[in-house]
Amino acid sequence: MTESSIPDEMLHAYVDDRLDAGQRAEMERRLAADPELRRRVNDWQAQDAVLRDALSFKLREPVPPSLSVAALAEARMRTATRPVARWRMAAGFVLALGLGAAGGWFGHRMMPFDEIALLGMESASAYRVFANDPARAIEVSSSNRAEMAAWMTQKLGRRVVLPDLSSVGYSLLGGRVLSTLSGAAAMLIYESAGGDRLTVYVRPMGIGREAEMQPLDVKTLEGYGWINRQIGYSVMSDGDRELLRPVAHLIRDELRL
Amino acid sequence: MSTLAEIEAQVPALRRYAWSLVRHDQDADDLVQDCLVRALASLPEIEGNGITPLRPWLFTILHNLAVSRWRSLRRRGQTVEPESANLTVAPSQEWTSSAREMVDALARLPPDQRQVLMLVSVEGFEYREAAGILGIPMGTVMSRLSRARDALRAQMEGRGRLALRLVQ
Repeated sequence: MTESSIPDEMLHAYVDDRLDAGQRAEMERRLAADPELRRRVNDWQAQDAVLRDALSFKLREPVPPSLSVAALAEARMRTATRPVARWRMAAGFVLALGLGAAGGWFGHRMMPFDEIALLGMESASAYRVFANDPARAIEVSSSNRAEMAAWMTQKLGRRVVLPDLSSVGYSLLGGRVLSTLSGAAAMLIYESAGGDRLTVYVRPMGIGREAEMQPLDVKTLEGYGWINRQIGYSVMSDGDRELLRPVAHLIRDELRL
Repeated sequence: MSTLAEIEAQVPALRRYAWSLVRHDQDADDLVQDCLVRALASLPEIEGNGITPLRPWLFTILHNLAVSRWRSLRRRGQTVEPESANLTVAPSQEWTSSAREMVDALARLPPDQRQVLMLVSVEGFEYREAAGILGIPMGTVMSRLSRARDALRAQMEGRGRLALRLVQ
């Protein structure tokens, strides 16, 4: 097959662009002197290009939900057996989110968890990091509500509505989109005339389970959480939870529409 | 990027490789799902050692699953051999005739040659990484690569040679 003394290894390395500049120049010189070898190498290169092109449709196809790594990780967590106090598990989950490394979290053999507890941990964590930042609490301002809602809708893949809380004394400051292991979440930040802030946290949930509104307690933060039509909501503040109750009801009723 | 996100980023390429092995959308995605489930299960091990490169590791898992799947098909007496499985592929609308011929030619390669060619030419692995994924010596990778590339060339020889040239 090979009409010259050039080993196939070198020809492949040339085709696959693994030669350094000197080797490459030497190879070009020898190929120029051997038309048959040149054709062989040209054909290899052309074949590779056609092959890559022919298979590129697989890269453009949308990945089916059954292959979502986040969903598979969640399922794995849910089905593993050793029971552990739910707050510890949720804390580990949030820690993993915060560090961007799931290692410590997977390291513990995963346990069943409570989605509402998880939602509470996530929203509390987001609240602590952003809600009371004097200068950069929000990423998008409510000056253009339609645009803000459209952007969040696009990111979450579910329609995001911005509840009007003016009847209970809160105005929308703006919000941000956050990344979680289960995909994008949106956090809306509202402020009262007195400067008190509350957040509404929204995240599409992986599983179809619904959950009635229930109180959330995450250390110094309190609020309410519920799941409606596979979307999880949490309302949080660092004030008295009783004051939040009418707000939570208003939001729930508005978003149920 | 978190490890989970890094794995997620490899899913399209894993689907492409799996498809080239079985040429059946659902079977390929089943393989990839098994691969992801295994990967998640043994994530602590590779994260713990801090040296295993993620991408070759995922392809190794996928390769091993494909091999054991073929074995179990054979054990159950099914005649479906990898090299003859689903030789007729539903044409993708995007395919040009040379792309179509190439996919057919790839399908006719013996699996061991097809694997090497896919890993090197399409997935862009180093020769030594391909050797690791397939569990074979480097020299074997190189000789299979030669056979695969020459076999494709011979197949394309008869038809549309010119079309192939034009692509360059």
